[in-house]
Amino acid sequence: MVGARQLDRVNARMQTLVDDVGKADNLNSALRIELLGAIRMEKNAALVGRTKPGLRSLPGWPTSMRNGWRTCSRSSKRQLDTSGDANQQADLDKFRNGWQLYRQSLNEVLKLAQANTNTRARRLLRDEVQPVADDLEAFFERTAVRLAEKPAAEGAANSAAWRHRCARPPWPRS
Amino acid sequence: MATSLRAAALASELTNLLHRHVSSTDETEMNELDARVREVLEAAAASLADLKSANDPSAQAEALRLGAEVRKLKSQVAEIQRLSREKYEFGRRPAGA
Repeated sequence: MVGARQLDRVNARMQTLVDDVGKADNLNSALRIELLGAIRMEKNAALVGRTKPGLRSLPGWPTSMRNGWRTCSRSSKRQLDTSGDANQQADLDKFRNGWQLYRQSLNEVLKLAQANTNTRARRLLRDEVQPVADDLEAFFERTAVRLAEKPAAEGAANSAAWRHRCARPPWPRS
Repeated sequence: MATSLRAAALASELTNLLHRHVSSTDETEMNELDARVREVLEAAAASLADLKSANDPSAQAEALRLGAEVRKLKSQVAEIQRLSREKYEFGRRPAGA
């Protein structure tokens, strides 16, 4: 039951994803590939043969993914529920459990993607804070160089005062 | 020259502290980082205030402009700290959500 094993792997990776929400963007594409792999394996095993129409809408992740997922899920559930092969029932149950776990994880991931506070914080840091920090750093460096280049008679007092201010910063160093 | 570069290091120290804050899941560590961030921002503002009164017209003008930037920066830093504390854990909603 290769698809069930693949789903176990997907679920494990889902857990990794939600443990570190900042990785959601990168892992989403990897998970989609794994999900398609799981479905393909099941399809090849002739257990979920009619899932393809639902999967067609998956590339529009995550907006159309919900619709695609519902179609896919209904289709596979029908297949799993109506399977008459008693020998494969245990494997089917395992696959169905993995499938349900995946759906739960998927819902959680979608919530995380919306409330992904770490990513939003990093974006704010990169787009708003970093430019000002760079500006400050460049200004302090420029000022230091300018003071160093001034004629000794004029610059000595300024440089001495600047060195005095900077020699012992008022914040603790790590 | 070397000592003035120490003041320039304030900016990179600020961003390093904030990156550590976002990555941290430890409440105590985040509290310590909050305190350090506050100190660094105050030190940057103090350095700029010094330069505003320095005998260097171009530095004065630039220090004035950057002083305003630093004041705006404080609210953005506070937002980052707030977002960073709302760490979303699997199966657990952040407080107030």
